[in-house]
Amino acid sequence: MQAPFDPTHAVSFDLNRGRVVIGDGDAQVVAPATALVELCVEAGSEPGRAFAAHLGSEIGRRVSKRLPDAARLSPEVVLDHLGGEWALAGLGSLGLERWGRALVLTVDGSPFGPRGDAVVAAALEGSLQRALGRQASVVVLERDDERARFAVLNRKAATQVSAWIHDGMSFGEALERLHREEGMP
Amino acid sequence: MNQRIGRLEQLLERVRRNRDAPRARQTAGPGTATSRDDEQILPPAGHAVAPARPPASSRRPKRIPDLELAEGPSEPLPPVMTPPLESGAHAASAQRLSPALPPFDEIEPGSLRSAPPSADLVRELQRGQGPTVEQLGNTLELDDAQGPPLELAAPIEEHPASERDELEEPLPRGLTAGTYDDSLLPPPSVHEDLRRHKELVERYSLVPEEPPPPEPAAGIGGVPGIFSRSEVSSSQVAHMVKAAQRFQPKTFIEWLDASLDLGKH
Repeated sequence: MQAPFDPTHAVSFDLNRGRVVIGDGDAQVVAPATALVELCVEAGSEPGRAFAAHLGSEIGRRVSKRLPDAARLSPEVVLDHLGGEWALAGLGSLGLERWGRALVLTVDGSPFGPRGDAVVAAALEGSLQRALGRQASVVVLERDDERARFAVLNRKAATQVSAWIHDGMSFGEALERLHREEGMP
Repeated sequence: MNQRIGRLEQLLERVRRNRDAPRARQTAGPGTATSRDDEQILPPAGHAVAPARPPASSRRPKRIPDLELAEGPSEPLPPVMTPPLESGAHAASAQRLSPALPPFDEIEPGSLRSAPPSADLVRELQRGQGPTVEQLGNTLELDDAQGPPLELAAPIEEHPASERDELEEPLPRGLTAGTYDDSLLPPPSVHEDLRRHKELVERYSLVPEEPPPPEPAAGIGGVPGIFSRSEVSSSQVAHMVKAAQRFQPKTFIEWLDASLDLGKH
């Protein structure tokens, strides 16, 4: 039985030294989210993705440390710890949705807003790769004022779904079509 | 019964004798009005008349012509007229009777009921010096009512109230709820009403209708079909998208791998 996520003493503020530490990791920086988004957007797609992937990788590292046998754990347990670490980083509230076989992650209250959805997607890729050892492509499905949805797919499928959504297809229809082309109902 | 028959035969004999006896012709005096009240009304056969005491405003006594002749024409009779109800006993009624007969006020009711007219009275009547037999009549004793006794409904027995709470109020009698007469039949338009009701429900209902329950066989053995009220279905308060139930990943990694396999081929 895996213990639930415990954030006690997860974040340390050493005010004398001016140091913020999450867990036993490297030093953190409390920076404005808008400044980070602006940086990523101005830096371009690949530098921005690299930055976000590194951000997510650090989250995945802490998750893997908490859950060394994450491959055998249920989705609820993984979500509990992954979402806990995601919240400690100040990136919003993480959730899971199952659309057929597709794994859909939701982020409520992302500090980056709509302009930072690509940053969030890249951060999610880094987290999954580091925590679970899977190379995934996370694509933005839709978003509203509060919630953004991301599909965890392979690179080919992610490209296809992004194209369908860009053409005006709803994310539900895109996921349904993806299943149908796989010969699944 | 034999006694009654005997009395009736005696009465019939007297009537026959009176019929054959010479009778004075009735003449109307001056100022006397003739009306139907003067006519004699015989009781129908088989019916006995038992006037214990005629009321003051009832039929006046029959005029006796012989009495008028005996008194002479010098004394005109007062006009015959029925006294009003509020006038009480009329004095003329007693004057017209024979002096041998007591006035009505002095007649004992029991004497009229128990005894038939005496032989002297009959002879006097035959001479025309008194009231006729028809006026006096004859009182017959009626037998007690015969036949089966009347069956009266038994009175509703009030059950003694057991120890009741002072706050307990007894249910009103005859207002039992929840029961109905099994012999009651549905109205003739019940099928049409049900059909119209179903049409309205299908037309205006926003909730998908559940398949109707099997309709009970109505009318078997005269018992009306019972249509139970359908359960109130909940309205759609939230939109729920169900995922394919065939895929139930037990671990997160299994789900992740399945998602990554989508669109590979």
